[in-house]
Amino acid sequence: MAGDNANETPDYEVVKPPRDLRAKVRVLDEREAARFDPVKAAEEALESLSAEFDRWMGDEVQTLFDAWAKAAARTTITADAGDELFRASHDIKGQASTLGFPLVGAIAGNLCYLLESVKPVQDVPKTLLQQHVDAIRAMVAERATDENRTAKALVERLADVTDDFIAQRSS
Amino acid sequence: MNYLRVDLSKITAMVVDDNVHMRRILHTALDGLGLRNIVEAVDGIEAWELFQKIGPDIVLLDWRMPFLNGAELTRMIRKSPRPECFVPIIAVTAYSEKRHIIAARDAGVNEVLCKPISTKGLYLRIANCVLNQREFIRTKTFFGPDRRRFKATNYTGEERRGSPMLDRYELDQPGPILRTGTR
Repeated sequence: MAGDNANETPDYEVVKPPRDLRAKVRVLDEREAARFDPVKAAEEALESLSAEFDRWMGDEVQTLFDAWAKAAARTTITADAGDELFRASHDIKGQASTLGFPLVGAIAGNLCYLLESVKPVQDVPKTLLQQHVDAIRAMVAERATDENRTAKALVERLADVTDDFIAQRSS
Repeated sequence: MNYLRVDLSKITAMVVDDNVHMRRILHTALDGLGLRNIVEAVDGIEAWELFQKIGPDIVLLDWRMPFLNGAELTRMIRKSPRPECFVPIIAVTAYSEKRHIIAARDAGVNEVLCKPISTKGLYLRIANCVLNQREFIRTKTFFGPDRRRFKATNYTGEERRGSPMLDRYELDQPGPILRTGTR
């Protein structure tokens, strides 16, 4: 058993961080805590930014569209073009919900999954990529929300088609 | 909401993300949480320079970046001199799959915050890093916060690291901070 032999060389060290960060913070007392809720304050701060969100989402979609246009211009999609497309869709996956476009985030997530699952990237059908990019553009233009049945159906359909394609390849 | 409220105004945070909108979102959320010293870096290379210059108290790190990614930067930070190598690192990532989270943990991050971020998730992870600093483990292949975050109730074998798992490990997970303790 480990530790039975005093001559055994230890294979690990447990080290206590030398800087105690608790010295730099203060737990608020009851009265202060009643006045300041950090999470609520952060939500309000983000809310103050929300006037910018549509424009930011537009910027992200444009980046995705540019990456797609570059990828689609060649007969086969190169690894670099695929990587750029992945990066743009990955950014949208991470931000769309915060910016008020959760369904767009779901499609971008599906696009990431597709690009990650199929190697080499040139084996991904261009039509399927085009459908994802078009869906993202349309949903941002329409400001499609969770209540939009057509948009929700489109998200599900793209996920199904992607799953089927990946399953077919691996069988 | 039931969580411990902490004054974070003296904590210096470094936000690293190549996406300008994400940096703005994180900066604004951190400001709302009460942090007053927030610096930003647009990629891993700038982050490394800034890290060495200012020695932040906490790092919020995007995982997928050009030039120097989150995993590479985390390893560089963990190899830097004391005490900077112990800085809490929160990976902020749209990679939500388990294998990516395990890879981030194995690179030496303290916490993983999946995008889209929630302000509560952000606050709890920062508060957790500050109030429940984990011990670090050094092996031949790893240096970083103890990866065993939870008390294994079904484990009956020997405790190899010399002491039983402590109650604080129960606190050391994303979720409401129920109480704090002294070591």
